[in-house]
Amino acid sequence: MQIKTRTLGAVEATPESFVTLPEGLIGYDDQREFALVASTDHAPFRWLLSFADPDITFPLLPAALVVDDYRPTLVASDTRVIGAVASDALEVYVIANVDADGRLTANLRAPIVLNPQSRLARQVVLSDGRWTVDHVVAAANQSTQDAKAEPTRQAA
Amino acid sequence: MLVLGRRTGENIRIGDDIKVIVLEVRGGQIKLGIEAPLDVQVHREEIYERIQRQNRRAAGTTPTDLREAARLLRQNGRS
Repeated sequence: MQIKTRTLGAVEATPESFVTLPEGLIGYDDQREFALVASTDHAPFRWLLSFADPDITFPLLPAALVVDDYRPTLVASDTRVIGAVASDALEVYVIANVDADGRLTANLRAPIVLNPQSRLARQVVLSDGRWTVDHVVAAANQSTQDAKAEPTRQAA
Repeated sequence: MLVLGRRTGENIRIGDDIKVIVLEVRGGQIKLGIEAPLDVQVHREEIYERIQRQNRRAAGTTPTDLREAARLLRQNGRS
C-alpha cells in the first residue's frame, strides 16, 4: 500500500509497518492511522507517516539509540490503550527535531510506546522531570570538531 | 466552568478517588497537593504545550533536514 506524502513522495508501506494511535499524538488527536517505515537514506531514523495527511511526517529514533537505561514505566491507562505487553517486547521511540542550525534533539519526556503484537501505540507523558522535550542528541558543530584531526575550539 | 473558593487546608474531591488539597497560598502563588490513582496522569499545563510545540515542529520535518542529521548520527556510531 502507498502513502502519499508531500516531501517524501509516495512511500510503500507493508501491513507489518501499520501503527494505530487510538488517541492520536499530542496536538494531532485526529490522526490515528500511521505507518512506521525505515528508509536507508535516513537510517537510523524511521518515518512515522500519516495515512490521512500528506504533510505529517514525523522522524523517530529508537529510544535506545539516544540514551541508555531509558525504560518508561507504563501505567494502567497506557495498557488500556495499547494492550498488555511484556516490558522487553515493548518498542519505544522518541520524536526527533532538527533545528535550523543543524542541532538534533529528541523528546524524551513524551515517547511513543508501541505494542508490536497489537500494533497499537500511544504517546506517553512521563512524570520523571529528568527527561526533557528537547534532549540534545547531536550538534552540527560538535561533529565538525570530531572530524578534525586538530580540533579548534568553538563557542557552544 | 465550576468555580469553588477554598482556604488553606481545605480540599476538593473529583470523583471517588482524586483529591486536590490547598497546601499554601502566598502572594500570587498557590501550592496544591494532588492525590490520584497511579494511572491518572497529572502534569503542569506547560508540559503539554511544550510537547505539542515539539510535535508540530517535528511533523513538518523534510528528507533534506533529516539526511544531514542521519549522517551525523552514523558518524557518531549511533546506527
